Amino acid sequence: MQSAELQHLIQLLAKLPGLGPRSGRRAALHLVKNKQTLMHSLMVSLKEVYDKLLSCSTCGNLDTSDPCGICTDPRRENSSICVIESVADLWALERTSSFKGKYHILGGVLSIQQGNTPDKLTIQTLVDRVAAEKPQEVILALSATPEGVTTTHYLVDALKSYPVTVTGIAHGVPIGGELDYLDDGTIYAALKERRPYSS
Amino acid sequence: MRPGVYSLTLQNFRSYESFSIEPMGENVIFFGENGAGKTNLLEALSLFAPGRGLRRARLADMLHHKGHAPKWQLDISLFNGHGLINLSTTGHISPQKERRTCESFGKSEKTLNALAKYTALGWITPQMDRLFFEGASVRRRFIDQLGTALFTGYADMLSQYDNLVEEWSKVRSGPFEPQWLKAIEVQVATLGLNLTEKRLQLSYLLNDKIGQRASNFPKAQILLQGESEQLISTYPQAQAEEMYLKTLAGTLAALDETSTPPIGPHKTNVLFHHVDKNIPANLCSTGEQKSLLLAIVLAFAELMKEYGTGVPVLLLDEAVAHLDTTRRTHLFEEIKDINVQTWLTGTEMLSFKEAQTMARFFHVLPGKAEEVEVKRGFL
Ligand SMILES: Nc1ncnc2c1ncn2[C@@H]1O[C@H](COP(=O)(O)OP(=O)(O)OP(=O)(O)O)[C@@H](O)[C@H]1O
Ligand SMILES: [Mg+2]
Ligand SMILES: [Zn+2]
Repeated sequence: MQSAELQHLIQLLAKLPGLGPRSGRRAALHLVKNKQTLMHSLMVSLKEVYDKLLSCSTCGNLDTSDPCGICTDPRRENSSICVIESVADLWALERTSSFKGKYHILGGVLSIQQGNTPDKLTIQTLVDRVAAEKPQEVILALSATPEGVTTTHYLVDALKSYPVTVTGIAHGVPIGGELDYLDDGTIYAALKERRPYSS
Repeated sequence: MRPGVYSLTLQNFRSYESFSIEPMGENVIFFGENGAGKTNLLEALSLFAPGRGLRRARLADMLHHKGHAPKWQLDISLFNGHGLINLSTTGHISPQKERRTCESFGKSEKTLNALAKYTALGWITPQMDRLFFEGASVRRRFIDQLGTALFTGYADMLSQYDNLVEEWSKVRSGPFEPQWLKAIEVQVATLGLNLTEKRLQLSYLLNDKIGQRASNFPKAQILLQGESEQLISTYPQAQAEEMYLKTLAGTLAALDETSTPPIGPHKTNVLFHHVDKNIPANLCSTGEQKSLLLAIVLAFAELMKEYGTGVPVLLLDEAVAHLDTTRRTHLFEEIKDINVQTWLTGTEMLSFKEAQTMARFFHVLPGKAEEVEVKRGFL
């Protein structure tokens, strides 16, 4: 039986995504065994990030500076803003290095049942940004769920009086996906969003 | 080897502390006295479809009374023609809340709707004898159960639509900008029409199938009635959507959270008709109604085999009780022809006499089932 302190550590670790009580114990044991090398540096790093972590007041990204590294990066283009739901989505897009513009994190999608009313999301901030930064394009990259699509419609409406092209990411056949195995909604969306091949 | 359930395991479920059966895709007949636990076994199977199972019971009611664990678990192994699919579903019960989860191949799935990818379950229960008399919502649920089994994505569509309708009612009665409601209404209209279209497609497929089948059961016809059905069958997509939106926006009903949209698949009326007699099903005799239901489900089983992506399985709880010997024999013959794994229950072994060469027989006793070797000769 472990001490109360160790128990507490295990419980905390068990709450991390992907872990659970058993992996929590394994992780705690690993830390205990590598007290100097790992546990200490983890402690220092945690404290550093804890002390410095900020939410970017421009885009909503989490970083150790405000404005965040992306907003202040001179190599990033000002001509487009990609609207996403969460920091997780930002990290996912950054992993692909396929987008060179800036981001705007909404903080969720409109859903009254989850308490996400328009004022709880950073919709007004986005409209203000579009007015001030004058990007050429706003890319709406929200989930293809009904709430995500509702939010997309809402944003299109909110931005319609600004001289900006509003686009949405494509929904449809996933890479490596076989048509035969897709549900009708996906096939319908894919067909609706078809595009010509330029010759 | 035909597709079907190869094994089923119950833990802490209803009258069973632990139970296991391996029918290897063959038809199964459970017989035993009242209260032995036959329906409980079919209910367990029905929980491999999204939803609340064939009794629509609360998860806590399914927890074995004598068990001490706060959960019940069901495991199934299905053969889909290529390989085995292992599914599992668990009811978690705590004083605060109850929750059902599911796993495929040992990995947890995000929603129960995932089950519909692997299974295509159709069932008849004695409670459904009242189907033709109950309110429209019960008949819609019956149709939706069939849709869930037949079309990939149908279950998701249903839950998304229900969710949207709730959003619509709440946002409409709240102090929000009209754009939000408008954005939701576009979604309600799109999804509402998609769902209506799927339901209509289902009814056409079923009616065709019932019409084409050589069956000894009376021919049934399913009719869907409602404003959204009307729009789809009268106007092209864009125009239908526009008119749908107009009706939504013009709602004058009371502004409270419980009011539902004035148009949409949640208002559809489902009508059943006895074709040969040309009368509505609710005017038919009890035996005729049972036969109509069987006609629908048998035709559906054939559809599942042709169209469905999941493994088709048919559950017939006490379906033979009302049938005379001739009809019973016909039922068994048609089940054999359709060649979809079917699970039947009844109190008397004798009522399955004509099925002796096409099924495995299990005598259900409290908490267990014993296989009875009948293939070599019945009684
Ligand atoms: N949560 C539970 N824990 C223990 N036993 C239960 C639970 N729920 C139901 N039962 C028992 O299961 C039995 C009913 O089982 P079931 O409905 O499957 O019977 P059956 O064989 O279909 O009977 P019938 O022929 O009357 O339809 C009852 O005796 C009931 O007390
Ligand atoms: Mg029963
Ligand atoms: Zn930023």
